[in-house]
Amino acid sequence: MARYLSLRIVLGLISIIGVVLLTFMLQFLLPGDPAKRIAGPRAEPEVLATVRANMHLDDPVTTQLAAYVGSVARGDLGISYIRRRPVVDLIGERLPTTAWLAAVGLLVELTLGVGLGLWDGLRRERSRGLAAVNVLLLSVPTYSLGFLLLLVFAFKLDWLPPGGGTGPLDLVLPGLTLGLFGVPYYAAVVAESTRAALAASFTRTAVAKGLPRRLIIRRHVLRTCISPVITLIGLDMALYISGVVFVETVFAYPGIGSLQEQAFTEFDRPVLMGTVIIGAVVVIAFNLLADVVRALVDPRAQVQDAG
Amino acid sequence: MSAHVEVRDVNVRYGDFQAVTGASFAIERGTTLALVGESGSGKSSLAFAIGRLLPPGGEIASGTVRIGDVEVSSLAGEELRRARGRVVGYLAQDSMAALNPVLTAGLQIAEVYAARDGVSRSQAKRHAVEMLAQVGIQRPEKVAGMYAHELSGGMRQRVMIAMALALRPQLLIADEPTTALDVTVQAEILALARELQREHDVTFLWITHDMGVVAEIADAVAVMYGGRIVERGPAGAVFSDPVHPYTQALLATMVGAQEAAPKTPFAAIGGSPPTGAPPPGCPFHPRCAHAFAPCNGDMPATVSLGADHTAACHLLGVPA
Amino acid sequence: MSEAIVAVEGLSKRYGSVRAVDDVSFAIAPGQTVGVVGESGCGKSTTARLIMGLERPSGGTLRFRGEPYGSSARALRPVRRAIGMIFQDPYESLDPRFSVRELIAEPLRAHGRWRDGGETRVGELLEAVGLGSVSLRAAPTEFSGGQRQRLGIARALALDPAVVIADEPTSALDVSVQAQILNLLLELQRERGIGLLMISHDLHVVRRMSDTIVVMYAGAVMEQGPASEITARPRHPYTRALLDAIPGTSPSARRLVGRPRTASGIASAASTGCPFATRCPRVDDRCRSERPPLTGVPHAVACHYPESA
Repeated sequence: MARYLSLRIVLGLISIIGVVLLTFMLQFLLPGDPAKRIAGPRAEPEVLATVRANMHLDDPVTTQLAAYVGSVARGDLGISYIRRRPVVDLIGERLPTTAWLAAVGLLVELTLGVGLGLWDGLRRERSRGLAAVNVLLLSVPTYSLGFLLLLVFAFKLDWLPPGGGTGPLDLVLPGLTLGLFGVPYYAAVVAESTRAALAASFTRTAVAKGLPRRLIIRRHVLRTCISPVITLIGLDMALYISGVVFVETVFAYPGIGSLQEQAFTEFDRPVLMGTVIIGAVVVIAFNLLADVVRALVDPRAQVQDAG
Repeated sequence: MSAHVEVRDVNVRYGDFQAVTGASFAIERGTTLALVGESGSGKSSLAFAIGRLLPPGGEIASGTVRIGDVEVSSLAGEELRRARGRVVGYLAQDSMAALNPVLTAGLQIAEVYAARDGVSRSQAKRHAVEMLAQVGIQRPEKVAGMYAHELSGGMRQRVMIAMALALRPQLLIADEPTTALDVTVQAEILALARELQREHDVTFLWITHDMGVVAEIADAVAVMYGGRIVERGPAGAVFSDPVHPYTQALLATMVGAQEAAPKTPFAAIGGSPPTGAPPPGCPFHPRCAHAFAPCNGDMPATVSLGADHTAACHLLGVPA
Repeated sequence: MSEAIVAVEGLSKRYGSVRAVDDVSFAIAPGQTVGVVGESGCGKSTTARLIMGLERPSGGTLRFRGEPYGSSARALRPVRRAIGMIFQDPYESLDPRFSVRELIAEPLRAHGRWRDGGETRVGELLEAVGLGSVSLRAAPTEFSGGQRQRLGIARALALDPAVVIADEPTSALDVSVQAQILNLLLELQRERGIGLLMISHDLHVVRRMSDTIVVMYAGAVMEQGPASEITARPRHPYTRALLDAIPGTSPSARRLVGRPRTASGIASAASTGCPFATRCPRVDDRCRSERPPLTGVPHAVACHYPESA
């Protein structure tokens, strides 16, 4: 287990280095002159030259890369062109806000997804209910779902705030939008593993032993469903993070996602690159975490690693 | 004085498909009846019916199963659940699939006790370790903490036996428990089963397709083909005087494999077992070397040959 | 044997510290059968995979008609053409999307033998395995287990192999069908002079089919020699254990009563000394420390204290 874990951490670090290199190269594809973003569009050529020199923009690409990687390694993601503050601080301020949203979304996703999946999986025949929910959620694009919820609950009924704030009520609509998107996937995975576990030989053994049905379901069936759900959380993390960015934008929710979106429209390179790197770190960390948790709940996973 | 286990005229159906027709036999306490058959013979359906483990869609269409003083075939709901493990236990073939992969061996035995009697968790755990020791497992405390994938095939099957015997069932259905094992391990498990039977008066319904296993373990034999019991009787009589051509052929296959000269042909039965509904008449007639006029028309009646030995074959109606 | 089609010399395969196959040697001559017998995990199937070039040996030499062959695709092509393979599970080894005709045509096409008379060849092969009357368009799923194994044999024979490797060819079949398949193999061998490598856990099947028997345990050869010798006068305690474990043929001749009944954790082979030492009834200190070499011709045994011949 320890060997496997250290291997995974090393692989994770390599992927993060890859992302850092990629974002560095990406900035050359972005339009606009960074010096002009800082000094203003009507700045004198001399001023521009000074700014360029201060930013090391005239240095050879390799020197710039070394400097960039060095500062990222020290935890310095640069200074925002627009807000004139360290990117690390900007992200740090918004991290809890986004973490709350992500947590609420995941909670919605898991409760509804696992609940629906179980409801369907424990029935003898596949229910039309689940199929209907899936068709509805999969065919409605996420953005229209977000706007629909906004329209009905914030503007029409005026039950919930339309966005902009960070209070508990402000979390409801974005959290719901974010969570609903993943429900069909979790429901399908849980329904399938429940069905497989119910049909499995070990469930027949449990029935033959005379265990009560509730115990069979709780201990024998549900336990075997945990592992695939955790795997899905890990696999889905990258997509989930893009969902966060999108939902924050739609609901004007002041988190890292909307920061990234603004940075993109404002050509604020350091902020954009910083948020991309943070996103990558989160995805990699969660994948690692998912593997560790799975190894803890599923004894079979440990053996495969040892081999 | 009636027998300990009595199966009377059982029919098992899955919708329109009749898997077992008119199966009857009895088992005396502390003895083993081997139910012999190939794929499609209906032996597993009959075993599931007796153990009340038929999958959804399958049902005992008619007939009765009595074990001890419990009429198992008419149990339902909570009564049925309470009878499981105590009146009738079940031992599956593939121990790897039959054990839950994410629960320890010890817990899977202990939960049998914990679900009853209001036994405490620690008591149940102690019972589980005792059971493991009883089925000949050294260091039972250690094995109790292990998972299915950490155990060898023979060890897993011992764990399964400990689990099935935990509540001392009146009948233990053993569904080909040694088929997936190496011969050496099979020999150990068979010896263990006989020893447990001697010590604890266990009654076995032993499902198998292997006449060698039957020879080792059975006191009585019931041979199934195409959903029917075609011959049954005391093991000694069936082995020394097989009456049905199918029984004869199965025995010839086994004995020949062990005794004939190298590179000479094996005694073979042509054709293959029926996959869907068996043909009209005697189900074995398309493969039978002795088939004659009535065989493809009527199902032969079951004829008593004395001393609990019966067979269903038209040849028995022909004067010698 | 100089006329051997396939010869295996000191063949070894290691996975990390596990010796899956350890110094195995035998030769398959035309019309002869080598039977490899042992429990699951003894290395018998790995040996077959090494011969087919599906895995790369860690040591030893593989020869085809006297010439050593390596594991490159080019070196293996003529070898694979000359060796037919029959698998254990006729349900899994035949692609259900193929028709009977396509299943048998596939190896012919793959080796460029389809153009000249491929169609008639398919008919001949089906005839040879007793499936002359089946529809060429049928799918293997419409067949019984025995018929599928016949189909598997027809496929293995498609390229007129000099050697056929049969890996537990009957263990997934109904008892009443097993004898048909074994008889078919005997018949085909007699008619075509095929060299057969028969892999099985069933010592009785191996005895009946083979000229030479190789008994393997934990990757290594415990005993090897003429089939009748090995089963009539086994010298290794492991061979003895395999024979003793075979059930009797009638309730009056029970043989498995009163055997030792305890089992400890996971069975493991000894790392030094004789691999069978952990399970051997006649073990002593020498067995645990010193590995017995395989000695004796033609009946070879690897045991410090073999039963007398």
